[in-house]
Amino acid sequence: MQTPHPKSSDRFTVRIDRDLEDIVPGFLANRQKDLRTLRSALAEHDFATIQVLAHRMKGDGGGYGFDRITEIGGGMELAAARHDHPAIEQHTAELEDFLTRVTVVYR
Amino acid sequence: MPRHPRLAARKRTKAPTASTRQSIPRPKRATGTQTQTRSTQRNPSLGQDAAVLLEQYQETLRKLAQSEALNSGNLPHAFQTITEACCRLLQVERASIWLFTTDRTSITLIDLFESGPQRHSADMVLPAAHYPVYFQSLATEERAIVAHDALKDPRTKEFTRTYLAPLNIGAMLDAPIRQKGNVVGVLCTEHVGAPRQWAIYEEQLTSSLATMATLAMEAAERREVEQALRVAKEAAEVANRAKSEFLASMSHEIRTPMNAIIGMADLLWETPLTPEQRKYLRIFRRAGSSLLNLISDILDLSKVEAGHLNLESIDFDLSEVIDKAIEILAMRANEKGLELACHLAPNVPCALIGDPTRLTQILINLIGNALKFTEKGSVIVLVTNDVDAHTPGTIRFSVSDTGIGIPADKLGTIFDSFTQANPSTTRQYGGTGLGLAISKHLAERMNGRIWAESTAGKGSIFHCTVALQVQTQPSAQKPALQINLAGVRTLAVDDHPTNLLILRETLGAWGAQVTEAGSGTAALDELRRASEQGTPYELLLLDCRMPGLNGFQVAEKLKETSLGKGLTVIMLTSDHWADDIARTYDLGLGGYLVKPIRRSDLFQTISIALGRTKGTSPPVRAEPLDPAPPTSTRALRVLLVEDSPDNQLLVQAYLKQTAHCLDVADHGAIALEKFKNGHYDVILMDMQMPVMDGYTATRAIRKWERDHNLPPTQIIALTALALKEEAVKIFEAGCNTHITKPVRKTTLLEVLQAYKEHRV
Repeated sequence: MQTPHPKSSDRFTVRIDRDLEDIVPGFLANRQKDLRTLRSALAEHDFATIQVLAHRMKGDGGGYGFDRITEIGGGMELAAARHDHPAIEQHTAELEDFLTRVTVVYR
Repeated sequence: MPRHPRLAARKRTKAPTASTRQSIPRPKRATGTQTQTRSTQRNPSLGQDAAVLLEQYQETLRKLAQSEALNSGNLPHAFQTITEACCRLLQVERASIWLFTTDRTSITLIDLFESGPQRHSADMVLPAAHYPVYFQSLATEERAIVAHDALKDPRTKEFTRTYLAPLNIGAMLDAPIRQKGNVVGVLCTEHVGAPRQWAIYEEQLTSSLATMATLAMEAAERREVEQALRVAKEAAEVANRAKSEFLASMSHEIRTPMNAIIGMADLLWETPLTPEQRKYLRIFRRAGSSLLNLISDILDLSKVEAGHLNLESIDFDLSEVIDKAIEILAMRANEKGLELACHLAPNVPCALIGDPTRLTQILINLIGNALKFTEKGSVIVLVTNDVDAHTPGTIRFSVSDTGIGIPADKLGTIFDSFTQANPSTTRQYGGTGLGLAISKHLAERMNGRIWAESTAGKGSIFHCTVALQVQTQPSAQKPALQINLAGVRTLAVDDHPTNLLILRETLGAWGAQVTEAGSGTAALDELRRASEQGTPYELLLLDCRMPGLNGFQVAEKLKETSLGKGLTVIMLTSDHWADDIARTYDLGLGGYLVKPIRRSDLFQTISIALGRTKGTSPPVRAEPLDPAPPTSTRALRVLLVEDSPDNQLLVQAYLKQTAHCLDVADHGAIALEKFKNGHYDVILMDMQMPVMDGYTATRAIRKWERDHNLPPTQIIALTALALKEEAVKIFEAGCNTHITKPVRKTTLLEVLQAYKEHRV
């Protein structure tokens, strides 16, 4: 399951095992929630919360088939550790972009 | 000088004319014609040819010394033989043996032989107080009391009134009977009639006969001791047999209700229980199974000792027996991080007749002991034909370890029941010490033996031989596992020579061209050389744990270069195997094999790996594969400790299709509570969690296990493992293995399956 980097405004497709069909929508919905939490945490400079969320994204994404989310989470975790506000904003934007354009195909 | 008036009464009146004290009778003198003018008699026997006489003495003494009478320990018979010989040889009328009473105040007549009536008699007592001079002489004189004229000799004349006169005794020759330096009695030679000039050789003969009496007494004492020992031994044997029979029947009687108790406890375990109840029941079940094991050992031992153990005599396959024993112990070896390898020499016959169950029991005991007493290094099992035996089917198992060893002075006793080399080792390593005693008996029943050699601190080798029959017509023999590896260029890499030997022989038999390398660096050099020469390897069997460059480092280097192209890599994993399996998948390698290497595993893994990597169907073998063994009837109870709800859902989804039961804890503190009150086979532990992290939780679980004497539960760390230090921390905390996050379904299921197959 290779998740291509978003290169343009095109949608891109992630193929996921049918076994996970029930839980994938919930996972993606939780990432939308994360986006909101990330933004408010950024506003409050709450890097600890950001680090926890990023760590979870890194640990969970690939398991669901979203390697890109693991990748974004990994970067964001490191950025949170060094309190790098602009980098976190950048990763948050990447996450939002990914969530907007992803299409899941179950097989 | 003749001085006895009744000279004429003697048949033989001739005596030597020369010295009367001669050490050797000379025939010429014996035939002298000088008329004796005194009444003292010469040796009446000297009428015979002296040489013949001497020969007769020697012959008689020789016969006596060897005679049954003297050596059998039958003292009355021995004494009778001596007195008879004495009368005959010295031609006297009376010969008697007297022994001191225990208080030494008198001597008692044990046997008197009278040559005239040819009669034996006994039971007369002479008090020492009545004959002080005689007894004094007897006690102090070195040699015999030689009284040529008993009536005049100061040492014997005390007897005149009571003894000599009434019996008409003229001369006495009394030799002391000594035992351990003390005079214990006397051999009396009494000449009836006139005084008699005893010759020195006659004194010597009497002394020799007295020595015979000593020998006879010693033989009798020996017989008495032997008799006592025999009686004691028989009594002990009867008692021991009774003990063994009692133990056998007791053990059996105890086992029956014990089985019910344990069975019921198992059923109870499956029912809903309060945490407190579960805690009690856990201890109850553990103690129950320990007790049952002990009883089984006692039952076995007592059965063997009571002679009730009947060995089976059935056809079996030796390689299966060995595989089974190794299979059972592999997990223990892996848990301790020990290298366990078994090499079955190709010339050993495998189609045998005997008792496979009991043979397995011996092997499990010997290998189990080696693992128990080894903290670091390896346990190697070599199976060969016994070089000391020339019959086929006599097989030697040698189990060598790098453990604590056994002091030389304990090597003989470790095979005794309830014995370990050192009482302190019992405390450290546990065990009843019955295993080796049982194995020894079993090996002896199989016409073999068990022995050990060892260097304390360096390790031990336990050898066991058994003599089994070889099947003459192996009936319905299973076709050997066959895989066509003809011409497949294979490189086997392992730092343990035994493993290389096993790989070379097994793969060689399947047609592969096997080259060996003893280290990661050597392997890379060899792969490079072969590639440059245009003959690249097709199959690489790579040990994970090697000093220097380890297997995964080699695999990573292969990925970086073109050397890995077209190469099927199979990892040989052992300790921390779940982590190794995960890494094998992460690196996209051909497959893995959990050590110890078994032919069947090797066959399967290579078939699948070659088929998979080449995109072709697995190589065909002679027979279709056996149906997969049924999966364990009991599914694993898995505790997932994870704070991320998404990951909780994910793992639940992974396990939905399996029979495994999943329980979830949101953080370490909840996990610890659940662990204390429940039972889990495997814990999947996330490391970074709020409230209580995975390191703390794992350490707490390990402590609780130690405090409650529980076996360690398999704890698998789930982490991204970004840093090397993190890996160290994970294992230091007490995790067994590690799976890299994000967790893939195949990896998780493989790891759980592998755990299920290899748990003891």
